[in-house]
Amino acid sequence: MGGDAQGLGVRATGRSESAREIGALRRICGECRGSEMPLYTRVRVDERIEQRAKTPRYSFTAAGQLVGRPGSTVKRWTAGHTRRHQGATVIDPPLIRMDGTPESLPLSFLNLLELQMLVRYRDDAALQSIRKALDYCAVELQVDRPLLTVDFKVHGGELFTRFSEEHDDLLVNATRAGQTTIEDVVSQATANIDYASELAQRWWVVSRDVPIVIDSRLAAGRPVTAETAVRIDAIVSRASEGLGVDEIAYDTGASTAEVEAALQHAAA
Amino acid sequence: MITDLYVENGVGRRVTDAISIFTGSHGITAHFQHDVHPAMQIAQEGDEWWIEDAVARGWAILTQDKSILQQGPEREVLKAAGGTLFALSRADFPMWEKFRCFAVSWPAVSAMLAASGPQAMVLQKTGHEIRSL
Repeated sequence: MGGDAQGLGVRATGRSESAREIGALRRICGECRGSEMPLYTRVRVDERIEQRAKTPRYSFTAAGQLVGRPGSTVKRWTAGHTRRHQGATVIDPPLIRMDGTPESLPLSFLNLLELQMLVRYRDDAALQSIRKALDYCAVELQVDRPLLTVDFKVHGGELFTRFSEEHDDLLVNATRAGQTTIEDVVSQATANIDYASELAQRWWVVSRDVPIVIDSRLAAGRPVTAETAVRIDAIVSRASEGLGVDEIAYDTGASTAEVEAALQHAAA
Repeated sequence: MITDLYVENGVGRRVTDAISIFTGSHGITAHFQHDVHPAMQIAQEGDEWWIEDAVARGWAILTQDKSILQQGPEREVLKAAGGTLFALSRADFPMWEKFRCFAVSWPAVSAMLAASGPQAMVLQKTGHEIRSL
């Protein structure tokens, strides 16, 4: 996405260093807009954590299950799609930059975060608009992947609004404008993400009230219980063997509340 | 000779209990992860910290997370610490199959416990596979 952002014609901010070298940026001055002063301070990010977030771990199908969409849809969004339209061949470019390859494991934790944002706002905004807005944020925040940074959580709404104004792109579906604002899009997309060392680390898969998380640092990025880090599939497989909630809690070390949440999530 | 086994939560307390029932026979004591590290999330440093801690205690690790052996920080920590790790070939084995995987390869498991790490073995239902680190 970062590369595409360069072609949008928006204000370039000097990306001579790689995003990894630059790290996430933190805003320092609300009055800097329009001046030559930088909008954000530079904050170094932990390369190991960043690498972990970008390590391919999920198939199209697995990612689809986690974000609630068919694997074929996830593949279309991440690998692109060729279709026929009015007798002509139309190529839909990927909406997300895959961190892996279709032949092996295509998608990373970061890709999951990007997917959940697309899924969440599929009905509110055109996918291509969200993609362009993310590209715009990448340029403004000087990072390749804005969704990974805590700066996006803090400033993403404002940047989306600026994008919408500068590109005359409504971004949010006008028919639903009274219900959803651009700021809502960003705040809701980041509400279930925890950050550490300036980077997204953990996604509360359902909501913060349901103790199931995907943490790029734990269990190779598979869904686990929030407090005890027991893999959800380990809980579900025990249930399929006929164990009750208390027995599963005993055998895995998860709390009964975590076991119940895991089973309800699996059944949904 | 390693005499203690750190059993990851997903493998289960029942497997841990089953191994330890026979400590008097095979000399191995199994420890359940949740009992050793009850606050798994406090450290907030991924899987490396408990791998490092278990190895520092002189224990071998039994896990169902084979991905630890793939390239990545967990594998690097295991390798640097000189650890010994046994991984089930599949995470979704029923509880009995998990124990069976361990028991069926007991002679090889025992030999690895007597050797020095870093070393790893993938345990299957009918055998095992040595993995280089």
